[in-house]
Amino acid sequence: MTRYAMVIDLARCVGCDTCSIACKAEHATPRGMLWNRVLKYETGSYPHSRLHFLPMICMHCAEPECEKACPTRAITKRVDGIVVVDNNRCMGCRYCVLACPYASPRNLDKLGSYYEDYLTPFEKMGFARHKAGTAEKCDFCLERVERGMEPACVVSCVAKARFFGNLDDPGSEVSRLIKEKAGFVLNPEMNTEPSVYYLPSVRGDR
Amino acid sequence: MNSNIPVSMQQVWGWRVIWHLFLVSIAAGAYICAFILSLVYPQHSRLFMALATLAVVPLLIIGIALLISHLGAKTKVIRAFCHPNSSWLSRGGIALLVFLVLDIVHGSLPLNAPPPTPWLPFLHFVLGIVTSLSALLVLLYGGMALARLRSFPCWRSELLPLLFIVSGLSGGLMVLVLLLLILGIAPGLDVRQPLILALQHAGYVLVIQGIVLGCYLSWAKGLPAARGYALIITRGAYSVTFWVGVVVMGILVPLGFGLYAAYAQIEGLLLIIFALELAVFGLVGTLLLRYVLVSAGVSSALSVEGNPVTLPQNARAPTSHLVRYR
Amino acid sequence: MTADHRDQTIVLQQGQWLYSFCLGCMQADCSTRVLVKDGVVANVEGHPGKVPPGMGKVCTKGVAAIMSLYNPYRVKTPLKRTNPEKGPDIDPGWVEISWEEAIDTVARRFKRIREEDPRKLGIWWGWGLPQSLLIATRLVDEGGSIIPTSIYPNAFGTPNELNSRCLCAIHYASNLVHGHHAEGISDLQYCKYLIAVGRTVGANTGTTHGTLRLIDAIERGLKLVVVDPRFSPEAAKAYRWIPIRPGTELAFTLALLHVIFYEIGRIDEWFVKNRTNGPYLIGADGLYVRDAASGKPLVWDAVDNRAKVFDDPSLKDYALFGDYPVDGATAHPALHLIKQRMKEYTPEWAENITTVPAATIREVAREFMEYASIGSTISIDDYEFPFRPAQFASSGRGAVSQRNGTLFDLAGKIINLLAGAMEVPGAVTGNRNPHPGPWVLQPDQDGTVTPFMEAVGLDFKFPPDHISMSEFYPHAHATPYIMVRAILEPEKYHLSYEFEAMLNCGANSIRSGCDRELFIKAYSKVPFIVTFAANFDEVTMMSDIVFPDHHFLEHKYARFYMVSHQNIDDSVRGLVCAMGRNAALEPLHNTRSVDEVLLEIADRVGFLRGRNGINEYINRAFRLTGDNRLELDRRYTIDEMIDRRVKQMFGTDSGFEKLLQEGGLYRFQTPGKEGYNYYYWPGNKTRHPIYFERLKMSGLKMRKNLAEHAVTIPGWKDQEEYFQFFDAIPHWITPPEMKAPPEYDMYACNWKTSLMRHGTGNTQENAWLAEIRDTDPYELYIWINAVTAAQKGFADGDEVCVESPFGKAYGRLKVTQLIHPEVVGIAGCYGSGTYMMSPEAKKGSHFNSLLSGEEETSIDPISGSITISPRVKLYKVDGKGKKR
Ligand SMILES: Nc1nc2c(c(=O)[nH]1)N[C@H]1C(S)=C(S)[C@@H](COP(=O)(O)OP(=O)(O)OC[C@H]3O[C@@H](n4cnc5c(=O)[nH]c(N)nc54)[C@H](O)[C@@H]3O)O[C@H]1N2
Ligand SMILES: Nc1nc2c(c(=O)[nH]1)N[C@H]1C(S)=C(S)[C@@H](COP(=O)(O)OP(=O)(O)OC[C@H]3O[C@@H](n4cnc5c(=O)[nH]c(N)nc54)[C@H](O)[C@@H]3O)O[C@H]1N2
Ligand code: SF4
Ligand code: SF4
Ligand code: SF4
Ligand code: SF4
Ligand code: SF4
Ligand SMILES: [Mo]
Repeated sequence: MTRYAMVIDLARCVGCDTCSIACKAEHATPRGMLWNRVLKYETGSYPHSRLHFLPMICMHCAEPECEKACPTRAITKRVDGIVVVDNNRCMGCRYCVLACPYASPRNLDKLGSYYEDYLTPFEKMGFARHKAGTAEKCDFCLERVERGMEPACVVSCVAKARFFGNLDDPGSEVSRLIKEKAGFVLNPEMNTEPSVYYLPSVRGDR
Repeated sequence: MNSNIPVSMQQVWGWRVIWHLFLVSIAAGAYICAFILSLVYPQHSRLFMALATLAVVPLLIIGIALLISHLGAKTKVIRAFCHPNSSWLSRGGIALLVFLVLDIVHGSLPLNAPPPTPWLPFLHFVLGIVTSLSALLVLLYGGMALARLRSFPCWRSELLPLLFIVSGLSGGLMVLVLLLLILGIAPGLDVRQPLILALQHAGYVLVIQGIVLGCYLSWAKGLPAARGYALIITRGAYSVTFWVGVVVMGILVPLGFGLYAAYAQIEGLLLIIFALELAVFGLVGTLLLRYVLVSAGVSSALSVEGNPVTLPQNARAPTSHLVRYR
Repeated sequence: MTADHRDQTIVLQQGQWLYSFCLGCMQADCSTRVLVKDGVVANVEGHPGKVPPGMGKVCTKGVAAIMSLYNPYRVKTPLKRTNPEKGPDIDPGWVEISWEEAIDTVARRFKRIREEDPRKLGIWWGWGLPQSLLIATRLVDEGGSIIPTSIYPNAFGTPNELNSRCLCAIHYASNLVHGHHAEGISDLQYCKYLIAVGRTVGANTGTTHGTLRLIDAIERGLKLVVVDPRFSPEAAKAYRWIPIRPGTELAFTLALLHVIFYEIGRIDEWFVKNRTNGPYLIGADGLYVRDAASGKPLVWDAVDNRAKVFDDPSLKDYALFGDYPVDGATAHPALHLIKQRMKEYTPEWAENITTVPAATIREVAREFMEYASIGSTISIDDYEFPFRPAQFASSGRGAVSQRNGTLFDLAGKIINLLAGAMEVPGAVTGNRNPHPGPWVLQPDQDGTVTPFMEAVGLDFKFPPDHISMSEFYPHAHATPYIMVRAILEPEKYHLSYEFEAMLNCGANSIRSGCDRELFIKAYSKVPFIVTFAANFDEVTMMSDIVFPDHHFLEHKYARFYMVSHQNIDDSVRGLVCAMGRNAALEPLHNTRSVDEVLLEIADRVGFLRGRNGINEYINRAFRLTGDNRLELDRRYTIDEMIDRRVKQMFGTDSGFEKLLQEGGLYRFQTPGKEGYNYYYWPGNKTRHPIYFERLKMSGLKMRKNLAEHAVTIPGWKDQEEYFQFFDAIPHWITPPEMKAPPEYDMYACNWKTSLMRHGTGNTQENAWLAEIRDTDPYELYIWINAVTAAQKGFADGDEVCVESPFGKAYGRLKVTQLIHPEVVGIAGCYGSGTYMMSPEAKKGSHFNSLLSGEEETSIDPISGSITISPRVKLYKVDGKGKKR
């Protein structure tokens, strides 16, 4: 069985946002729509303070709250574990937006262009792939994955902080990393069983 | 606010959804209350049922229209019924439709056909039960839709749907009160008794509503993940609306008016004023209750390596604040 | 799968991938591939062949280039100005003109200037530069080593090659001590302990490759120490973050030296004796004591107890400390003097100045010396090297662009040298690229490394030839702020001519420099400004003729890897690489390639052909030999020139076409042991200066020259203020910042980010980058420490003005724990732009408005750098910028 998963190594991530932009280019998401976002937060007080980076995408939960919540069945979990929104089915109720514990789906209120009375050729082309009023989120780059490519954000991450693979294969790189480097998921108490794992920002051996 | 974790309130469901929830709940509440009152006070049964079945239709239709106007892709609304096995929104959609249809059926059922038909009251009864059940589902769904969200710990309590049900019922009674008042303008129609009854029961329900509301908020305050939410409501951004609008205007004042009117057996203009006061204040309170509870919703912080990380203000909205070009 | 996803697959499949390379930043050398679908650029990715140095990655700006390509605010057609009044926000009265008219106007004017006095043309370049090989490519001297001047200005005949890299004069110390450019490279493969002071090793700006290598090294176990007033992304990966008071890094470093000399007491004696000028005897005049006969510097043989020339084969051991009688006078080994000089610089003394606790200074010094593992060796390809896996990385903007910056950088070199950590595995090393040759580390007649580039020093001439007064700042990287002063006050600067014209390519000192108002005034005074423009930035708006440049994605072109800045590491050592770029699409607008326009102008003016024409300089700069050489009298296209160079580098079966097909051609010509310069000059075959006699000499020469012409250094009331820097041993000089009036109670500091490194590739208008930075909690804000904010009554989000003695910057506060309590931090180079640019450009705070290049208050006389951490005060303002 295949269950696609991503591992994001917080010890490697430098918060550069290349992933956010690469995702934007790959999916031509309209103005305002970012499927990948890098949260930044600080802890501690000066001079023992610290800055942290937290890239956030859809967790492709095995028990997706969004899917359960969606009244239209626009959200489905595929056999390979990828949770997708079908924007032909979505009625834009934004219930999934509320339901997701990771704030992953967002409603594309309108096809926002970057320039008020000018649509760049890139946007014109990209807009065909989006529907105003519907919910959107990271789809694990499934059209790339289906063609044997890695997701755009994984390929582009300048720090090689992101890994993609099959969680059901204990020998895969992602499984190995999770095991060896104490991978964890965010808010496990939500019981959504995310397929996106994080590796600790400070390694145990240091 | 003494919680040092910054909180961010949901901006996803706004006034349309809130008005929707308000309108459909008072419609459902009105129906259920009317049905129960008509069972307990058979002498007024025809009046109550006629008013309720009549009122439900516009309330529901406006409510549903508001919900549809909230949808980003309105043409897909028909798909809302696709997922009742797990989606409360889907269940709600079905309940709304069923309730609307049944209510219309019930409303158009003759009260007494010229040749006495003994099965007619029974039919009314059965239909009333079934319609009430669908109305109950409508009342339930709003609360359940929120209470089932793992992402919003502040709503995850059975007390919330209970509160919505109770306030739907009180709101329903207020609708009846309003309708009775309007009806009372018609010459020759004495609505005093039913009015007093409605006022009295509204008072009872409001007492329960106050208790449930108190329980709910104290539950939220006791739960670390929901504490911020409770504080926003009682001391923070929504405190004025809450204390003035929901508690005083929505519960205490109508409760006072209702019980006083019922026990002091007042009449005439005073009664009209009291009833009007109760209904208007009460309905505003019912709306504000939903407004406050829904708008103040705070989603759970992420917990990352032991640190609570609040999602940014606009986490669930498209991110950009870009100014317009050219 | 749903219908929509099928559509998407089709979108992807219909496209065509074309090889390209990026110009999202000054580095401009990440090989990419560009997806083009129906004539629309649909995506940008790294070159799948992992061509170095980008190694198959592309960063934020590289991908976001799609939006700068389609930016509607681009310059779309040649323009001429009709309004004689000039200013960045003054309507120039643009009139669209034909290319012919534009080129003709410029050529006529340039022809006249060239005949009159070619010095009257200034050629000004910045980091839009990788769009032009003619301006970017450096010349090569007879010995085969590059010199700091390039093709176009030389062919025209003007010494006034100007650039705005004035906030990063970081090269002198490396040019002097390692004898190579641009600066030391981290040997990240082996390094175990790296102290990075006021700079990035790559990750701070999320640069391709540099980030990866640093993170890999940290994963391997490298301990990174970050000395920086703000908590940087690298600090998030570091083993220590040491916040420091800005501009005091010299004191920190001197104290480290004190601890090494007086508390640790252990240095790499073998290295200092054999590979530095530490044992050279120094006389009372501070200069080498020389052998009367040979003129060679003397050392003291500790065994034979007498002075000998440094390369005397009979030398048994070098004395490093003590007083020695030579020719009746007392001389000291250089190291003795260095040690003596460090005596007063105790950690406690430094704590006062730097705010770094004395205990931390002691710990860091100890850790550094321990990790250097003096005495250990490593075998690479069966060659035994000294192994010194520790590095004090000093050559970064943050700490070097300060009044004491060059002295700090030099002191940092001393730390490395005391540990023997230079040009050996694990340590700071140089790069033999791109022109291998014996010149790296080659000893001069004194046995020390031959200085390179800026360390060589410009010859004095009076009246000065250079409008930027390089004659008075012979080691300067760039001094455009002195140029503007000279333009405005020619007499004060002894200028014998006045500027007639400026040719500008990808530089914008009004935004990215200092003295904003002075620059604007000076530019207004220049009668004729020609700009190759990507956008309507300040300089474009002040131009008379505007040549619209291709967006780089439209520009079929090539790039030849140059060892450049610090975001590179050992893994590109010896890299020889050419990158090819296919035009992803037909130019969207009426634009042309900079080089083609430059060639046309040169031909019309008459410096294309013949001796000392462009063709000849191309032969020299591209190192063309045999059939590849250009005939001097023919007109070639830039494509043909590129083709010759590619053939020269990769053989006749290669060429521009092949480069375009493959995206990148490369080889590593110094693999393994050959990558380390030690290998070529082992043992005592060469010596790094640890005692900077040359710097002292530069000062002495300057005094002599000034006296000869009976002039003083313009702008310095107290000449000794200037001369105190020209000393052979770094020493503490209290910077003007520390003497600022008390009302300026804070410092300002600035850094590059992953969203904005330069304006290269037009990052300031880019809509995607803007979208990210708008949602970032730090990028556009003015940082202030939480405790300071509480003391001063500031809160998160307050509108404030930051005011230095030179100017003001406005913005919104971010109260944070991530910055030194005395410092306000402003990222990037935002908050500047013109009314013809996208409104995005003006968002944020303009840090540079706080800066000045005024000589006595702000300049490091050695490198010519300005101080980038000025004293400031902070106050709340209302929405209109009025003080509250
Ligand atoms: N606040 C702040 N200021 C800084 C720095 C900083 O980090 N922060 N860094 C300093 C440093 S280290 C340096 S080296 C200097 C660099 O300073 P400059 O070399 O002046 O570089 P930029 O300011 O980036 O200006 C480049 C200009 O080139 C133009 N340009 C961009 N792309 C192209 C192109 O494709 N073609 C053409 N023809 N033009 C183009 C743009 O209009 C832009 O305004 O800045 C310094 N100033
Ligand atoms: N890929 C790529 N690489 C590049 C460039 C590029 O465009 N692309 N640009 C190149 C150029 S031109 C340059 S000059 C270099 C610049 O590279 P760096 O010299 O690394 O310059 P910055 O990235 O601006 O980093 C300056 C650091 O100094 C800190 N700092 C600021 N003020 C002070 C201070 O007073 N004291 C101390 N201790 N620290 C301070 C800042 O917080 C920041 O972390 O990068 C080069 N490398
Ligand atoms: S590209 Fe990689 S390093 Fe950069 S923010 Fe994204 S995950 Fe982190
Ligand atoms: S992260 Fe959210 S949107 Fe993604 S699968 Fe889980 S619940 Fe659904
Ligand atoms: S917004 Fe669309 S995808 Fe989300 S729950 Fe509603 S119908 Fe489903
Ligand atoms: S996996 Fe693909 S869709 Fe998801 S964030 Fe990465 S690039 Fe975007
Ligand atoms: S912006 Fe610079 S570092 Fe980034 S991909 Fe382009 S050339 Fe490389
Ligand atoms: Mo620079």
